[in-house]
Amino acid sequence: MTGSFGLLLLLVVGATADEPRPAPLELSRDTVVLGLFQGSRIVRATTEARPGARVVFRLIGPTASLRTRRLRRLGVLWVKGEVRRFRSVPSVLRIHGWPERPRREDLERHRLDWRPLSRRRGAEGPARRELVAMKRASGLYGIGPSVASAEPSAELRLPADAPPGTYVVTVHVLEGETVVAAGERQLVVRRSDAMNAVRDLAQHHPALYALAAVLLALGVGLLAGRLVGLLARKGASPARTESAGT
Amino acid sequence: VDLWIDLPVAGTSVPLLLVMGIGVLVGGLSGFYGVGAGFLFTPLLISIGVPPVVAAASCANHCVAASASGALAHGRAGAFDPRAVLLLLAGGLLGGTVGVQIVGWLREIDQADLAVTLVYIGLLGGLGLHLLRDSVLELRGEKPVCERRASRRLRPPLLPRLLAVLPFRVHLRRADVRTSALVPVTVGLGAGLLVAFTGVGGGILLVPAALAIGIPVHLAVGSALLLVCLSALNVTFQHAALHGTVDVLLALVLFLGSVPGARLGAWIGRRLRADQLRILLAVIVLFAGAKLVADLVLPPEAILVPVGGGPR
Repeated sequence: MTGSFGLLLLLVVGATADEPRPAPLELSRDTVVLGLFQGSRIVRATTEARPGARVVFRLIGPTASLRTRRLRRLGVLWVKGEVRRFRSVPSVLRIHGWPERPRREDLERHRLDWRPLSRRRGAEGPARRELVAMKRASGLYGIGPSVASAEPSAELRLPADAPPGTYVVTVHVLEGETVVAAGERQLVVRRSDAMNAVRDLAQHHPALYALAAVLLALGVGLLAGRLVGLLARKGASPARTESAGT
Repeated sequence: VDLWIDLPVAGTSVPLLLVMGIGVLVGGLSGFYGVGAGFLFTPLLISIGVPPVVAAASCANHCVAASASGALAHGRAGAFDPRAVLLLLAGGLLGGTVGVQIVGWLREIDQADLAVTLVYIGLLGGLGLHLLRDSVLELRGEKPVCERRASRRLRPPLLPRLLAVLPFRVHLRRADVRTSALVPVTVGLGAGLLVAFTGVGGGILLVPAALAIGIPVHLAVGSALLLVCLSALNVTFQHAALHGTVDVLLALVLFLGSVPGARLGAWIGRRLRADQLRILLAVIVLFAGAKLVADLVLPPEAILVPVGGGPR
């Protein structure tokens, strides 16, 4: 578990030794649309490698600044305390290995750099670990399971809170102590038009959204009441069905 | 089934069937016991990752839908006291408006989630213990505490004597009750604050209060339902327009679950003894409160939280 946690801190950005050759990287789709009801957010990434090679797939979401609060003890309660700002934080980070989980020693041996999660001075040590822990707790950072497959591939599952934007999928093929091939593809994640419409209405026309919210609730409530009334006339008791959790 | 629903205002995604399941559960409890169990919505939504303020505001929106039909039915039947409703509404609108402003101020200092959670801990703890005590007494074949107190009273109880000396007397004609206007206004004020902070309609507060001032049961229920609907409507509009904390989709999915849930609960209620199973509701309420306490007291999984509970 500690090893897995440590791996979350790692971001492979390229080898410092010989320039690796381009690795083919195929994605099952180039665009993921976040709809009202999304059944599947899995993107399958596939590459080619010689037998015995190890492969590391990585999914990185768009970077953004992030404001957080550090929880502190107030008596017996944990309450929000000081604000901590992070600049340039990848919103999503998933690392998958093939045929097994990526090994930390592999990444370290190849002198692969860590991309700092924050450029803020003094935020490189404990603050970065705390940030990773928060991301991990919310499912935005994680290590994906190995894929039982004859070819190097990984199922990159977009987390539930994945923000829209341009994601980058990379692959590094390792042979012995060398990164022999690397590849990169972009993956566009966007909201459906309906979701964007609701969001835009709520953000840019709040009064209209508020009016729509109450009218929709009234309409749906009255419609349901009518339906329940019709059913009640067929034998059910109406008195107990009027309140649906008020 | 891997079905998730993106909540555009809450800024998170939740399993669709789980949210509908919460609607079915709470609606079922309401249908089964014949009382509103809406106070369970917000804690359950918080437990699946919906920010507390959004959960409470969206539950107020759900409350509009859940009470609309009943309020209309009682309104058409004239099963309410117009003057009582007006006075309650005056307090309810004031309380709701003040509550929304307080929540807005708490959001500015990023402590609204804590405030909503603390209010809920008090609400669920008090209600759960009350239900548990009465359930245990009923299982033993004894009268609930309130009934025992009433039967022991040798002199006029304190509350009616207090109400009798308050100024601004009004006559609630349809109920044929004389009382101080301050009473329904204050009760409405409390209910409005409750809706603003918790998204709970306030029927659980309004009906006993209306009965306490002497309004007959059928008028008390009708008046309370009308106030719940209008007060929730006011709070929903203000939360959405001023703070953008109402998630319509969340409220809609909850409602779609709670309607069949209420039917199911009523069906079960006709076949089982509610008084014996009331203890189950007490346990659920206490468990929900204990979960909120645990979240506040136990060491968190992550020491950092996003500001405002927004995107992480």
